[in-house]
Amino acid sequence: MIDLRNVEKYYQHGPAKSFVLRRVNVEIKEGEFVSIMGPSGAGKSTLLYVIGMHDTDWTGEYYLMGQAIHKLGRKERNELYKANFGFVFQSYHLLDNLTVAENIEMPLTYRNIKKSEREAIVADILDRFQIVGKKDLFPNQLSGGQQQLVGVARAMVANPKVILADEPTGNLHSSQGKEIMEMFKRLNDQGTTIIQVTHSEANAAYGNRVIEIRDGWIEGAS
Amino acid sequence: MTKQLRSLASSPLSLAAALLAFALGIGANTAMYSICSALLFRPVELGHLERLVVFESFLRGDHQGLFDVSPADFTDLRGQLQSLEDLGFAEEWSATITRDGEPEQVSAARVSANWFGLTGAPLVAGRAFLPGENAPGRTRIAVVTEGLALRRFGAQKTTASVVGQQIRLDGEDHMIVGVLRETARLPNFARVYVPYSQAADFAHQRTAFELYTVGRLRGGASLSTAQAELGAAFRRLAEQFPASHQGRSLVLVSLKERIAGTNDLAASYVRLLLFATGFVLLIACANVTNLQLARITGRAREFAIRSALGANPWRIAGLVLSESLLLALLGSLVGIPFAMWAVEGMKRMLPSEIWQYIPMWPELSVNWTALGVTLGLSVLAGFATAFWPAWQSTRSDAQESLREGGRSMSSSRSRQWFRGAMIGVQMMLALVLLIGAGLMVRGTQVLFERFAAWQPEKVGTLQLVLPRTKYPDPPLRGNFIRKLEEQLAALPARQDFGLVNFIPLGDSMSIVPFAVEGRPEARAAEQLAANNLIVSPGYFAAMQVQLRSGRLLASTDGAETDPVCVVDERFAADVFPNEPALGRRISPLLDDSRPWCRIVGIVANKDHNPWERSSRRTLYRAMAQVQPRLLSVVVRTDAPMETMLPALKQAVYAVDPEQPVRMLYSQQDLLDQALAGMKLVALMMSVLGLIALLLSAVGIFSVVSYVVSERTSEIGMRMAMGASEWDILRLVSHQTLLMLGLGLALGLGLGFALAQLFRGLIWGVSSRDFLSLASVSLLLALVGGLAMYLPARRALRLDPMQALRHD
Repeated sequence: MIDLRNVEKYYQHGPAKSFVLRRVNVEIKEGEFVSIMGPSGAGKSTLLYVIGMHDTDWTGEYYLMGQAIHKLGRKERNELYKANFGFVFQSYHLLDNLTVAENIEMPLTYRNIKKSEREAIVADILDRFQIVGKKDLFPNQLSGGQQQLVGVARAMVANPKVILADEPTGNLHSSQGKEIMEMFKRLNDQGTTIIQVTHSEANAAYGNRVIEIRDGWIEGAS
Repeated sequence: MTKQLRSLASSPLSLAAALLAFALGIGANTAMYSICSALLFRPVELGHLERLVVFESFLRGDHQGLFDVSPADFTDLRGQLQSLEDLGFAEEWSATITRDGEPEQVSAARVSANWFGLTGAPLVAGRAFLPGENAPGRTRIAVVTEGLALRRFGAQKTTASVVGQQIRLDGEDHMIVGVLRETARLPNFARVYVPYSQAADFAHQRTAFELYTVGRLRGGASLSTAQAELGAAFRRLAEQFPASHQGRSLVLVSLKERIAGTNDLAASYVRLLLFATGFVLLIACANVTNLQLARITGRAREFAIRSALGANPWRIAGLVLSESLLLALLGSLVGIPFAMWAVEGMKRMLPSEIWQYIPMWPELSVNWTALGVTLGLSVLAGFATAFWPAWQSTRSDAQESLREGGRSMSSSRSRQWFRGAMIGVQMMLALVLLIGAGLMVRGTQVLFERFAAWQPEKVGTLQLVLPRTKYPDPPLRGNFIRKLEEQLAALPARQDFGLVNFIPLGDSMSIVPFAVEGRPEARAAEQLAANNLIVSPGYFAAMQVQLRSGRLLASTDGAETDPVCVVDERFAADVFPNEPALGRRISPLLDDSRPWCRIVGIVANKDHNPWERSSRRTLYRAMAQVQPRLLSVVVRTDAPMETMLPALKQAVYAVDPEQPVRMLYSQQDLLDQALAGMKLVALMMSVLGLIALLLSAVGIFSVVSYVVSERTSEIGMRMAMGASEWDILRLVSHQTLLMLGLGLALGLGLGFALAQLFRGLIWGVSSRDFLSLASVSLLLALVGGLAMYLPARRALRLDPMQALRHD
């Protein structure tokens, strides 16, 4: 499904290059639950953003379901991204001035879906995530775990094939983190590919594969 | 102070934008205050100006003027008005100066001996007149203004050395006893003052209404008390002398207000500009408020730390306030040189022919009072721009701000709306200014176009006043006129020439009431009046006045033949709507004699004054039958004016080498002079409009920049949620766009309302012009759109990864 070949990313500092990713070759199959691990500054999040097509400044080849992403323009990548990916952030990034339902609805507004249809989808997802009772609350009225649950619901609302999660439990205490990981596990069981960046061995244990990255190099896959 | 400076310097772009806004806003207001001071607040330099009052006369409700108190009335009133501690008078006069240079005609006054003490007019050398110097035989002394002294006796370098010199006025030598400051010219901008020769019958001249009378209010006395006193005293006089005084009344008005021309067009223009500069300051304040608001939002963490360390909310608000005040003071420091430059520029742009009627114009500068006003404005602007940001700073949530990786992604809705509202206000004010500027420019253009058909650049003019002493009776004046016509006829390269009393487009004209033979004489208030032109036969060709019916005035219409006149179509239509005008007799009501003249021709209407909306009904009388003292020459020529104008002057000198001349110009020059004030106002309005446009653009740029920077994380998140470039563009600009549109709509409405309000100032402009000027809103929208797009483009180029790591 996802095939990265010889992907490199670096920053130019005068004549010197500082590499963030070096000759990265990664293949991820549909339905996998992959954890990207490694020390701080190793390039985990960068790799996640490259996969999510949010980082465009790299070299190499990237195929998504056979399509050569490295040959596409920004607009086409955006269309592919919208059709296939959902994103979960460490610090939730919910909009304070929108209610839970409105936050969840937001990705749908970027996908030309009619208002009535959007409402139906949001109602369905609220029900699936069992947060119907919180739909009119604002983010600051929720706990961290509840906010991240909304973040995951938001990532799932457009029915993506892949969920990218950047340290999704980093700001949560362990019981809340566990709840989120179980949610990811359920989604994965239903067929969604999950790719997460994590420091936690326990969280990685929910997945079926770990990609270890160190100083931009892929160390190996277990 | 150092900490505040350091804090301001930490955002150099924001600091530069705020300084620019304050410098332009405060600088423009300081410059405008200086001009207002010269025109309205202190229009003439008289020590007692605030307490001086002048007598204004009315006849059956009709305004008669200021030179309208008889000597006998003055004498009687002086003894009765307890509210006035002193009273003096002046009589206007046009003095001919000969010897020591070219003959020259200047505005002069014969004044009561106490004049300079009464008004507090400052002398730079010599002395004022002494009591008793009004006595006949003691009046061959003069006080002249500094400018005249230096011009006539320039070789002697100092004004003091002019004292004791002789100056020849109307053929008689006068000893200069004093030199007056140029800025104290009163009345009528006089440059020469001599004592009024108070004859023995002074106190008995009841019907010679000719004195300009000024009084000084006693300390503590109010104008209304003095007015009531004068009203009662004059009513008694009117009862005593009904033949000459029935229907007359005298009113006291503040001299300062009368000179400033509270109701005059120039004063209205100055007020218009004062409003316009006020708008610019408001735009600047809205701009800086937004910048300050952006700064305090960005400093939420700093305020939270201060708060955690024990600072109460008001201390933090005080910090914001002190920074705003400092910013305003720094802005005014930059604004002062801008104001000085603007004032000097304006002084240079107004021709001397215009500013000679503004006594304080040469003194116009950014003075201490103006600097005081600047300081006041700075403090005001500092408070105005700090109020909302300071209030907001007291409401920040320290715990939220201090939390690691704070979850809040953007500033509150109220702040967002406030910022948007500031944009809307700026746009609205800028559009009003631009529409105002456009209307002024269009109005000036229309006035110039109105006279283009005359080819005013091909008409040379000159004016002279035959001195009463040298040309006391009509035959002598007739002789002068005849000889002058002979000289003009001999001029090479002239096409047509004519003589007229008042030059069309000149600085004055004569409007006289008239009676129609066979009709009862109307009351003063109901009398018809017409432009009174006394012309030679050649005038019609020189000024291209077309004959419609009858005949033009001819050289055969002389002093011995029946008086005849020609009227224009408007006159004929207004006065004889249902009967032929030709053959009817009319009489200008100038004095008790009733010189009936028969209408022999009707000519096309002609505009004579750029300030009049339409041509005024005009009466043309034969110069050979009237022989006025005021003579003007108009010559149409293809020759360059540089050769024609000196030739005109020589033609006059060939008749009388001692006869001074004035207004030696082409009519284009006269038109330029007449419209110079309006051109200057149009230019200043345009400059203010452009400043407003610049400030608004900077305002939008900085707000959208700030929005992009503040919402970078949100932008990243939305991109990660699938937002397209268009979605992001809409996100960062929709509120600004909405407010921009709202501001423009309100600005259009307000601009239209103001155009109606000021339509008296900007004539020649139709509603169609307003609509085409409304297209400036498109310009503003384009500039606003660009100012918004440039920083918004930055948001489009963000990588979500960079954006999400922003905080």
